[in-house]
Amino acid sequence: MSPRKRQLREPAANHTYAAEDPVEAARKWFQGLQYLASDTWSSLPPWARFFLDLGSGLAALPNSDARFFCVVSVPTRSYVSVLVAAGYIATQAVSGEVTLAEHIAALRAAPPGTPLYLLGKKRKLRATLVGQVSRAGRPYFQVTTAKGEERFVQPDQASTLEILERGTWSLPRQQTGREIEPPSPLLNTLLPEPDLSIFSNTSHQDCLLIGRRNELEAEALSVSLGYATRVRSEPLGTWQDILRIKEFPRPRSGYRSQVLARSAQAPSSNGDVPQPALVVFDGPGSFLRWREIWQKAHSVAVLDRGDPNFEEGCLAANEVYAQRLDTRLTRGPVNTIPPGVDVMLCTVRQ
Amino acid sequence: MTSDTFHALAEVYQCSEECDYTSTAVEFPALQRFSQLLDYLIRILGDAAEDDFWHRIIRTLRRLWFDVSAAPLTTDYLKQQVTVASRLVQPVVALVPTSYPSAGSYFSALVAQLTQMSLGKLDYLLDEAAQIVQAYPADTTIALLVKAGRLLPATVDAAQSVAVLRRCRVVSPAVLREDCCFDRILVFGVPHWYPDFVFSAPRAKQIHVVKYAWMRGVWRPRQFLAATVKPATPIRERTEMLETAKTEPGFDLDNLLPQPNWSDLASRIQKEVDEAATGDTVQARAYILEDDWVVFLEADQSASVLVIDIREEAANHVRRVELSELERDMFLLLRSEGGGDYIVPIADGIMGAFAQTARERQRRWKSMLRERVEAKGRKHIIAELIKAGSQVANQLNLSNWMWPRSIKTRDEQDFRAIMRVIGMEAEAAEYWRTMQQISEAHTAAGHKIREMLLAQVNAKDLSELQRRGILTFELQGKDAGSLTAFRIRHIADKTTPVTIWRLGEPIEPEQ
Repeated sequence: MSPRKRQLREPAANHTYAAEDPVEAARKWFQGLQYLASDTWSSLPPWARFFLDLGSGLAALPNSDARFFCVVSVPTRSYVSVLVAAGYIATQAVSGEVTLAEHIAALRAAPPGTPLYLLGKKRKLRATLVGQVSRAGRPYFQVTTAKGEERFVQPDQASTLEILERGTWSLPRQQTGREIEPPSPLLNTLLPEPDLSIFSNTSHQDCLLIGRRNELEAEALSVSLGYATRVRSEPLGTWQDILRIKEFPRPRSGYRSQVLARSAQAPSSNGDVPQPALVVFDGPGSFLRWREIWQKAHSVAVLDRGDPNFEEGCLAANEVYAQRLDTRLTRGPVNTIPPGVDVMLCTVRQ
Repeated sequence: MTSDTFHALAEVYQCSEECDYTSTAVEFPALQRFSQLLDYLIRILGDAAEDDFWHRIIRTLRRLWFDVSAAPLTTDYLKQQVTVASRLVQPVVALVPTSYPSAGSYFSALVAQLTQMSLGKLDYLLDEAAQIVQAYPADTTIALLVKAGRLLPATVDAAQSVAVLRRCRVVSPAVLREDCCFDRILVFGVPHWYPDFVFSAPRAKQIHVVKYAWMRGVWRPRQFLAATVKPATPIRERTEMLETAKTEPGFDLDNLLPQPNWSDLASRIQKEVDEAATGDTVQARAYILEDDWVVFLEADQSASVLVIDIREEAANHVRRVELSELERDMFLLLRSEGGGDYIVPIADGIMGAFAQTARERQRRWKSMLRERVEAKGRKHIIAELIKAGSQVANQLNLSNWMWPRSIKTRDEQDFRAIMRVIGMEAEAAEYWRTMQQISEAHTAAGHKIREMLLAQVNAKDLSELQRRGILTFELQGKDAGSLTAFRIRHIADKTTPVTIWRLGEPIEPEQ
């Protein structure tokens, strides 16, 4: 999949970011992020900022027929993949308005009977998709929320419809609905409404992380994050608020990334194969096993020097590098590289 | 994992930035002389060093040399090792000059040197470590790094015997993959004996190499990636900081290392296994484990084994993986007590009284098949099986079907063909049902063992497994026996024919 086209948006009033450039906006936001450890709030350490910035910089690489290939050699794999992916996704979130269009397209493509949540102001209702209808010359999505209870949603309000991954569900005769989980207060410092709702309620395959599921889950969910300008008594979220990994707990149904266990069976070619824009290989073992798949996606290989497969992973990465198209990237995605980290970057043919 | 873990990672990057490398040279002329003589002897012997006569002697002498050179051990412990070596070499001193005239004088001198060493002080590295640690503030966190897992217990004892070293943690290189850092790490011996990450991804703000004065060898940063974006902060030049040897030792240190030649080791054991065995062979791959244990596993990479994966969450610490997924540094679980397949006794317990009948039937059709093969030959029987309806009869499958531990064919059609060929067609359906029952009992036994193991594994301190590379788990229950987790150190590239009953059995290293 080629990188998504980005459209810049006017900065939202009264919001933490106000920049014309999504990378600058995202990086400015990263500067304000804080984490809680031992009852103390601290700014993110330079090494963590670097990997967020790297992900952000990669999101800004120009669209072309080529894909970028980035290798980071690190003293420890811990959190690196999560941070690179978070940097990438946060920048995509700031930059894009195509998500709603994709969501509308997904609703249009969904067959009648597709299970949904219909989000009201305070509660969400179980619903199923009936289809698209035209009323007074305007298009609507028609859904059923209870036996016989019809609702019509205009496409520009499509973010109030969350598509569920489950196959089917039966609708009750009557329902009071469930309370809507509030959007992530952490993301609220990055995205204004309605972008925040669109980000939370709609799905897009920004990133696929391949590694040990338990390690990635712990890293996505364990760090308590806050934001500099907010009262910081309570954490506002975790990295998962940005990553929105489909396989891990998250409020709302939308997802932005997926996880594949490095020991998983090869995905079948029956249409269930994720088509992410970015693949992050967490560790040389993941890279060696899965590098041949997703030849059209951008990729980042995180190679931990302590891993038994490190040298083999480097050799495989060097083979890819040998087929590079160009190392002169128009925009340097990296700034100050932390001690003990090496970065190799190039573009390769899709 | 918590936010504190995230917080602590700053220290890992800080170590990369600040790590200071120093080195101390220790004098030990007697060991230098011993090293020279051993090196000369090995060179003069050439290929003969791998002969049956020399192999064990050279291996023992190399191990002794390594023990004295690569860990801070007590004189008492090292003298025991010298005694072991002396007992091995003394009886053959008189034989060597006649059988190997060119090696005779060197060997005699070497034995004399060994005798001299047995009378004197041997714990120079321990003394030096104590002096170095003494100079550090009391709150300094210090690790003593030992390359060989087998030397860890003796090094722990040695550190406990010296008051100033009691605060040190004795670790193997594997521990330095974790995200914990020390203030100082003391490394014993030459840097390139250790994995590169010990130095390239340091887990301390200072790495102090302690080696004998005549040992040459420095750690040089290696560029593994073809091209890198230039770091804004150049990594400091560190290479000169480790070289302390002022004179050429006059011999090759690497020649003395007891580092096994993996393929030689595998083929030697395979040869021994073959000489001792009768019966069918199968293609197998050698896995060299911690402390040079060896196990042969099927060449078929879709077969599976139990492993301990300490990086997984507790519920998944014990898992079954395909052989294709095995990697170096994983922990392979093998039956270490109770003999043979660890599944069988538990599966028999699940089948209850029927187990005896079921096993008798399993033995019967296999022994009849074997007898038929011995009488008529493999090719003839394979042809008969194909004629009788088998779709997959071939050399490999026939070996597998005759193997006492295998249960049944994958497809019933092949089983019927076998029963027809061995003249038991009338009982084919009943036997097939019985084999299915055994197979189901084995599956249930596999689950049960995994549960029993999980309970054991979760009750044990797995950092000990990480540190030592070997850990035994006693299973609760009648005939359950024990399983041992071994760290995989090397996986052979090539497969080799091995007697079928040796598969999965850990083979002890030579003493």
